[in-house]
Amino acid sequence: MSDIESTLTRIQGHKGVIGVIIVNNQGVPLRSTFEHDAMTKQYADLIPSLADLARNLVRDLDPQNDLEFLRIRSHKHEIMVAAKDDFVLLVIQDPNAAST
Amino acid sequence: MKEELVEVPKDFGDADPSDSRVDVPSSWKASLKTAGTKSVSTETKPLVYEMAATQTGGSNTTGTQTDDGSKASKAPPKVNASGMMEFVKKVESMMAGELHKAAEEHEVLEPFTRAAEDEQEPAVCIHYLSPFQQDMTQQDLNATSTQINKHRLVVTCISWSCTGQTVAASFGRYDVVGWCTYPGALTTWNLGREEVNTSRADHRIDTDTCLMSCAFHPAHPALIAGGTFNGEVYVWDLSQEGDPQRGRSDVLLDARHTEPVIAVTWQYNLSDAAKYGTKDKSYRLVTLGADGRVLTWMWHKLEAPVYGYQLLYPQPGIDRKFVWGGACMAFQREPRGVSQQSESKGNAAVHGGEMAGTFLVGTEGGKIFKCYNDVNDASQKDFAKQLEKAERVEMRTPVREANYTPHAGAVFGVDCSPFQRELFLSCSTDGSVRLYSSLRMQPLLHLEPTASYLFAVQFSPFRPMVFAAAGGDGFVYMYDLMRSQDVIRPVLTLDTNGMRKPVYAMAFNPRKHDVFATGDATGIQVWKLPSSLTSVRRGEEALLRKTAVADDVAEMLRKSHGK
Repeated sequence: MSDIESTLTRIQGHKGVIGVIIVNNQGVPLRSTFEHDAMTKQYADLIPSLADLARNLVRDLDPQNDLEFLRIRSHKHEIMVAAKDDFVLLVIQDPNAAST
Repeated sequence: MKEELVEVPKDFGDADPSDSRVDVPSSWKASLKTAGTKSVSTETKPLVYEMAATQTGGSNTTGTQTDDGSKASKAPPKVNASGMMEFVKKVESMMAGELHKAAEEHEVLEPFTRAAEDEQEPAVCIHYLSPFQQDMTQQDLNATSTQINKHRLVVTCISWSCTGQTVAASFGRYDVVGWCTYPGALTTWNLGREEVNTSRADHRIDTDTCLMSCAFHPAHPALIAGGTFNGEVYVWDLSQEGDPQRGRSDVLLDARHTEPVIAVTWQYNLSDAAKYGTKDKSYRLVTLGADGRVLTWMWHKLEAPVYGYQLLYPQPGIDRKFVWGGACMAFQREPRGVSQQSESKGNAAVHGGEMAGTFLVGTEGGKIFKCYNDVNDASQKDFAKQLEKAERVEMRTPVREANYTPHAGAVFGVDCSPFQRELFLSCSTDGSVRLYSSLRMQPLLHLEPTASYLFAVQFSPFRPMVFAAAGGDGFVYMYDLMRSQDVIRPVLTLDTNGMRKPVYAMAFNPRKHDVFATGDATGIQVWKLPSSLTSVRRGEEALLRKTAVADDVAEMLRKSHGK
């Protein structure tokens, strides 16, 4: 278990990272670095379905292909989604904070 | 033979006298036979009856109840921990790579995303506050003379309280010759209230003479200081019941202002903070008068100034030093972050001196002086002794540097950048705004937004590269050096009154990013600035630092925008 914690801390330590969430395939957040559960819940509810849609898209275009990574860039943040083996890792980064 | 009618006498002997009834049979009555009568009878068919009965069989009870959801989610669900561990291991390196890439890409792409916003949204005037009645036709017959702007006072200075909720304006006149017989006023409005009364001030303090400057205390939300045309300094406490005046300077002292008090500022003083402990007493009042005197006061002891300077500087070509009249003053501000550190450490290592504060003064002749406020305890005591003896006080000069390229007209506005200590702006009646570095004599930037006078200039407290200049044509010109193209020109012009009446004062709200106040002939306009002027851009502070050391700022800005 501590390995997971240390990994999360490592990821969190990257420049500009606001939060890290691990969600399982049912949409239940397993680990989260956000203090407010509301935010975690929102991300956990909305993002895995989008990742599934993306994966379906990729596989429809080419059945041998698979989704590797999904990045959503908005005005304020960048959301990085890695979905594999029934788990989804979400990292929310603020690039403005990263590069000053 | 003849029968003889023998009358038989009627014999009523058969009459029975007992019941005295005599019946005479009717000769005509006969019994009628009713013809055609029939007797008929009906009967319903026989009714059929049936009996049936029901009864419930056995019974069951069940119940439902919602679960308290929060209890369930508090414990993190125990999942296949090993599965998660493997997943995270696999994904971690990829995630780290992506994070780096994102940061790099952002740096490269940011200028392009920014260029998309070419449209400048306008600023919106949310309030127009005036203590005077505007419409002369609707004049209230019972209105006192102070409600009509009989003396044609104008706004001389605007100040926001430290909380950003209250805005104060001092009223006076600029065109007074000789002794001032017009009254002045200090009016405040609390914009935090639900209903802001735009035609009546929340507080209104009338003074005998025109009020030329005002400033709220940086830590106490109700303390405000003001300077009048006669050189008096007042301190008011708006939270006090009854008379709000907390102090007033002595008019008979030798060491006082003899000409209008043009600028009033509050400066943090470490020894006062150590001595008194309370936040409001840790600040001293520094006032600049048109007579060239810079006096320092303790606001709770306004009977006599703590120290005073005179702006002595030789006229070029003549040996003797002259006293120069001051028209505006600004203290250098410690950039945020640095001052917090020094305050928390509790030492006075701000400028290396005990109470050293560098300030800039603009004069009516167009020169700009850089001065040091390096009073220490010994000189304070000397000054106090001289005052006690009522002898003429010798005030020395604080001027250290005066060779900045002068303006062609009176310098009415000076402001130091809150982000970069040595940068300052100046504006003058020659219609130009100049950006100087206090370490260099030549201006870094020379901008001419208008042909009319410029009365005030101020850096934005939130965005390092944004500043505003108020003009005599009624417009306020806002510049954003981050968005300048080939020619640096104002990104936004606020038309305050549409009648080309001069704007004498303006102030950014120190707490709310998008609130800005301007003052003209009759009142204050409170504006809401568009987000493009209030949200900090990436790399802005770094660019400001580069600006401070650049040789050719316009060229440097052009290069940084990739043109």
